[in-house]
Amino acid sequence: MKNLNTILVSLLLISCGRVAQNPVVENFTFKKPTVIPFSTSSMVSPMVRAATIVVVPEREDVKDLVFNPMDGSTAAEWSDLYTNLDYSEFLPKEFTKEMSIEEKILGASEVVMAAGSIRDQYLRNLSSLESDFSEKEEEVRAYEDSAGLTDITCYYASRPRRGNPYTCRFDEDAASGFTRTKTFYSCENWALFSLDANQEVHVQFQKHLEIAQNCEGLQAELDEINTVIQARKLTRLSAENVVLDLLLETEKVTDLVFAAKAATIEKPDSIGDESSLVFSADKMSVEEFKLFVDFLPGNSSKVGYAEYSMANGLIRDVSVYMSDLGVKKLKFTLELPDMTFFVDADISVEKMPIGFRVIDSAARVEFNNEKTRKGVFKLEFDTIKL
Amino acid sequence: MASSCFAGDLKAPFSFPTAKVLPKGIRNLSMKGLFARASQRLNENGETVVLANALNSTITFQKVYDSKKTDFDKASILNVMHRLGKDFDDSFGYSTGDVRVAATARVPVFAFGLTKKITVAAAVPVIKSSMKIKTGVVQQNQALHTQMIQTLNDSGVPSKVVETMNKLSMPITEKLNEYGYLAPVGEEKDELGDIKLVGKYNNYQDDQLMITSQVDVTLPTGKDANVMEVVDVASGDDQTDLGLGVAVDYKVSDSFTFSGGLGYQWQLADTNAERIPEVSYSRATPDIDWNTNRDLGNVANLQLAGNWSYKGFNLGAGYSYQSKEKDRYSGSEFSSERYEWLTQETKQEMQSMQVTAGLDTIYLFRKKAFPAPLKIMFTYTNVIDGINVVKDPLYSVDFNMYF
Repeated sequence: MKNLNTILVSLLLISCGRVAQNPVVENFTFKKPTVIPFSTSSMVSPMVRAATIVVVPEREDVKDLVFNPMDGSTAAEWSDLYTNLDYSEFLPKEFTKEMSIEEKILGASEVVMAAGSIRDQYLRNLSSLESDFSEKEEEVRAYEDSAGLTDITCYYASRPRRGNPYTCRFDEDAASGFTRTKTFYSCENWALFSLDANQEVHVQFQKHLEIAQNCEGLQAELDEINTVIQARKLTRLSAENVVLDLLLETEKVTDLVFAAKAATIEKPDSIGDESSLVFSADKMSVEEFKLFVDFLPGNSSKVGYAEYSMANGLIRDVSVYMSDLGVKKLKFTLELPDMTFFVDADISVEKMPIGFRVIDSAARVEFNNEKTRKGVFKLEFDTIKL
Repeated sequence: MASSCFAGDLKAPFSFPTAKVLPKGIRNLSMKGLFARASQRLNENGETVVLANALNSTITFQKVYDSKKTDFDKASILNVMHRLGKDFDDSFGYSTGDVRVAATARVPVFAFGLTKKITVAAAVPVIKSSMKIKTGVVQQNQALHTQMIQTLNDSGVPSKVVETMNKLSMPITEKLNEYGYLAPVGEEKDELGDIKLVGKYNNYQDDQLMITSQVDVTLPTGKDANVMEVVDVASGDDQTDLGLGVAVDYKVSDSFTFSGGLGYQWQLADTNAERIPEVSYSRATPDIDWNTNRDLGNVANLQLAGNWSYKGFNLGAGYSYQSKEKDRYSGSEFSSERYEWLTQETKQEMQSMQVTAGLDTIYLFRKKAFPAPLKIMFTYTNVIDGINVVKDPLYSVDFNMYF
C-alpha cells in the first residue's frame, strides 16, 4: 500500500510539472532603412513654397456626387493627369449615381492621392530635366565657342524684317549691294543665316552647312527637353486643379468645406503676402507662423485671403517635438472660419527640389457643425545647403 | 488565429465507458492525472497542421488592404499598389508563429453509491497549463520592400515609413497591438476547471449484461479564453452543459468484458464576449461584441472498449468517435456575415484509440489478502482522425480507492 501510494504520488508530481516545449519559428528580415533625420545642416527658407490643405471626404459626402470631369471645362486638366498617370485605368473617370458608395469613396480618395504623388514625382522630375537643360545649354555654348561661328562671313544687301532670315553671301559684292556685314554668334540665331543663290561653290559653304546641321540638332534636343519641362509643369498644375475640381463638386453635395488654398511662392496671392514659417535656430520651436488662406467658392462662409497666424491667435498650441518613433514633429491647431485643423505633422527634409516638408496625412478636422473628418495638411519649403 | 485550446472543444477520452455502479453506501475516491501537449491539430480537411497554423500566413496587399479600417487608409494601400504596378496577390513574405501548450489536469472524483442502482459523482478538475508562443516573419521580395519604402519616403511622412517597417518586420505583434490584444507571451496558469456532476442509474443487470443510463451537468466554474489574448488556454467555456448517456457492459467471460457507451451533450446557449472577425480568413480583429449570442455545438459520442482483467492485472483497448456540431453566433453590433465567420472551423470530429494497463487490489482484497481495494490504470489515447481538433496524444493515470 505504501509503495503503491509512493508510485502514484510520484507519477502525479511528474505529470503536473510539465511545461510546454519551446516554440520554433522561421525568421528573416531585410535590413531596416534608416529614417532621414531633419538636421540643422540645411537652412530652411521661411517662405512656404507650396501648401495643401484639404479635408478627405467620407462615404456620406460622396453618396450624391455626380460628376463627369472628362466633359466640359475640367476635361483638359483631368485628361492631362490621366494621360500622365500610368495607372489611370484604376481611377474613376466619372462619378455617377449608379456607382457604389465604396467605389466612389475609394476612387475619390485615390484621385486625391494620385494627384499629390504625381505633383511630387514631377517636381523631382522637373529638377532633373532642368539640370539636363542646363547641361545641354552648356554643350551648345561650348560648340558655339569652338565651332568658329564667327569665322563664317555674311554680307547682306538689306536688313530683313525682325525675326526673318538674312540672305547672305560669303563674299562682299558691291555691285549687287551685298556690302553690309552680320555676325551670327549663336546656334539660336544661326537659323537666320540663310544663303543667297550660288553660294554652294564657295569654300565656306561646307562649314556653314555643318554648323547649321549641328546647331539644328542641338537646338532640337534643347527644345525637346524644354517641351517636357513645360508639359510637366502643366501636369502639376492640372493635378492640383483636379483635386480642387473634385472637392468643389463634393462641396456642392454637402454642407462641408473640403479645400483651402494658401498664398505661397508657387501660387501667390496677387495682392497680399505669402505664407511663412520661421523656426528657432535650434529648430526646436517656432518663432513665427503665418498662413494666408482662401477657400473655394463652395460652402465656405468666408472667401478671400486672410491671415491665420500665431500673432492673431488663429494658429495656436504650436510645438516641435520628437515622437516615440524618432521622428521630429510639428504640432499645432489651425482655426479656420468653418473648421479647425488639429495638425500633428511629420517634419522631413530631402534634397531640393523637394526640400523641407511638414506633412500630416491624417489631421483631425472638426467642423463648426460638429462633424469630424480627416484632413491632409502639407507645407513645402526650399532648403539652402549650408 | 487560434483563440483557445481545449475548453469547448472535443477532447480525447481518457477512460472507457462502464455500466458499473457502486454498491449502496460504498464510496469511491479517484484521482485522475491527465497530461496533454498541444502542438498540432487536424484542420477542416483532416490534414495535420501546426497548432499555430493561422499565424503562418502570407502578407499580401489584399491582407494589408483588408486590415485597414477607413476608406482613406484603404485607398492609400490601393494607391501604393497601383503606383508600384502590383496586384492584391503580390506578397511581402509571410508571418510565422508557433504555439506550444502543455496541460496537466488533476481531477479528483468522488462517487457514492446512493442505492444499489444509483450512483452519484462529482469531478472537480484543476488544470495547470503552460503555453509558449513565438512569432516571426520571413520577408521576401526585396525589390518590393525597397519600392515600398521608396514610395513611403517620397510621401514625406517618416512616421509612416517607420510604422510600415515595424509592421513588415513584426507583423503579428504589431497587428495584435493595433487590434488591442495583450502582447502574445507565454504563460503558466493553475485554474479550476468546469465541475461535473454525474448521476448513474443501473437499468438492467444480469450475470452477463449490465445497462446503465447517465445524466450529467457540467457547471461553468472554469474560465473561458480571455478575449484580450490571441491564444489562451481556457480551463472552461463559461457555459453549462447537460449530458445524457447510456453504457453497456457485456461480460464475455470472467476475465473479459466488452463495454460500449453512447452519449449526447447539450451545450446551452449563452451570451459571451467575442472578437468578431473582420474578414473571413482571420479571427484577429479589433472588434469585440461583449454580448455575443453564443450556442456552442452539441456533442455526440460513441465509445467501444474491451477490458481484460485477471487477478488484479488489467489491460484494455478502445475506440471512440465524437462529433460536435458547428457553433452558432449572432449579435447586433456587426453584420451577420461577420458573426457567421466566427463559426468557421467549429464543427469537430474526433476518432481516437485508447490502450490502458494497470493493477488493482480488488481481487486480493476480496481474498482478504490486501487491506484496501485500490486500482491504478495508465491510459494512452491517440487521436487517429478528425477535423478541427488537437492531434497530440493524451496520457493519463487513474488511481481509485474504494471505501
